[in-house]
Amino acid sequence: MADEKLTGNLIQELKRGTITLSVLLMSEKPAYGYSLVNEMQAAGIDVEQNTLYPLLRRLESQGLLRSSWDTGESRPRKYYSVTDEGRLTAELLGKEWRRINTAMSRLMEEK
Amino acid sequence: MKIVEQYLRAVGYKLPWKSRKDIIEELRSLLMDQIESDFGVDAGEKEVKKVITNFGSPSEVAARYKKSKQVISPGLTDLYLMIMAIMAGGMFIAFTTVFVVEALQDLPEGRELAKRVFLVFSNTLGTWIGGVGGLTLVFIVLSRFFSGTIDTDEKWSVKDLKDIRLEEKLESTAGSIFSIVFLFILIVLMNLYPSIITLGENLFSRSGFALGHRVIVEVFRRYIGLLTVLWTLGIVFRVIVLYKGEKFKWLKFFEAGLSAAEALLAGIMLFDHRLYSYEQGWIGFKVVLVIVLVVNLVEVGSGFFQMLRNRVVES
Repeated sequence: MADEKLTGNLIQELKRGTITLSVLLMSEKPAYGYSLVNEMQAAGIDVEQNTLYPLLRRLESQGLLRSSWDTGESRPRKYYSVTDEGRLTAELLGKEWRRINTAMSRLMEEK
Repeated sequence: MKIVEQYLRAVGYKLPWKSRKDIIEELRSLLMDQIESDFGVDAGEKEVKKVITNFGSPSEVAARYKKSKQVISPGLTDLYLMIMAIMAGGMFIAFTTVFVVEALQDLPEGRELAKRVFLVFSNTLGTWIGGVGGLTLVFIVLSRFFSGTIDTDEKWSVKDLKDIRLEEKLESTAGSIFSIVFLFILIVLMNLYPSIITLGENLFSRSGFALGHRVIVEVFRRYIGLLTVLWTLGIVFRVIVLYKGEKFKWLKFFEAGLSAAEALLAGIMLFDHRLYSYEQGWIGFKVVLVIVLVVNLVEVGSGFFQMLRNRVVES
């Protein structure tokens, strides 16, 4: 029987990179943390809020996202949107993702 | 909401101060979004507590916003731990040597003997803790300023491989460790107990051989600073050899320079007549200096010969 904890950790590792790519793809129009979690979950990408919020800041510090505070609503919200560099990175990550996906699908089919 | 503000304050205590305000603002907004979405705008304290609990403990939340920091670069950790162990061993041997030499002089018994044995351990521990403090500072500085060159091979090129000479043996780890321990012992002994030279001379006299001269410790003290610098450079050299695994070109120059400096100092001490209380022969400290002089001159010579040979092979 598979070790649940170990499997859980391995799944987390598998997901880590895909979450970054998903965020870059889904931040084409400005979005704030909470709405992004909901949008991602609606798109079938299982992400925890506590994972996503620090990730947004990290991607911002890496220049892949930009942020701005919107104080016009009922409460101030920080909106994130993808930068040109982030868009280019998403394109490269996407290509790599497709290549890995093809290779992995072939491997699993052969098995 | 008071409980939310209390929670944010608790998180804030653990956040990096530079981005604390902005992160707190954002967390407030996100928490309120979550509360509103789960329980509406009129959520009670019980519901708010539930959301906060799901959000995570202040430490957990803050940890996700922190970059992992390592005081000592991973590339240096093994070396740091090894030098720490070498220092402990070297200092213990140094203090044990002092204990043995002193005990042979005045043959202590009972409480005095126990006190001296205790001093070996307490002195070793005290000096080691001080040494580890200094060592840690050196490694923190190395990690902060040279982390790029220590942990990555970004500047590495396949052309660098041509400098690796397979015909030369890899440096012996045991030999390097032995040299480092020995130099540590010398530094500790000579700085803390320079009169150990007199003790050594007294022990030698008991063997029946007549000493040709005696060292004046007060004059010898003037050389200790220079000797400590040379021995410290010797430790640095050995540590680099351990880290690199081989003596690369510039390390060989460093070694040759060090040997030449040691030979020069030994020569100066050998002919400094103020250093000796009477000079009726060479038996005694001068023999040690002659050995040091010869060994270092041989090292400089063989290094020079090897360099010449490599040049010939290359050409």
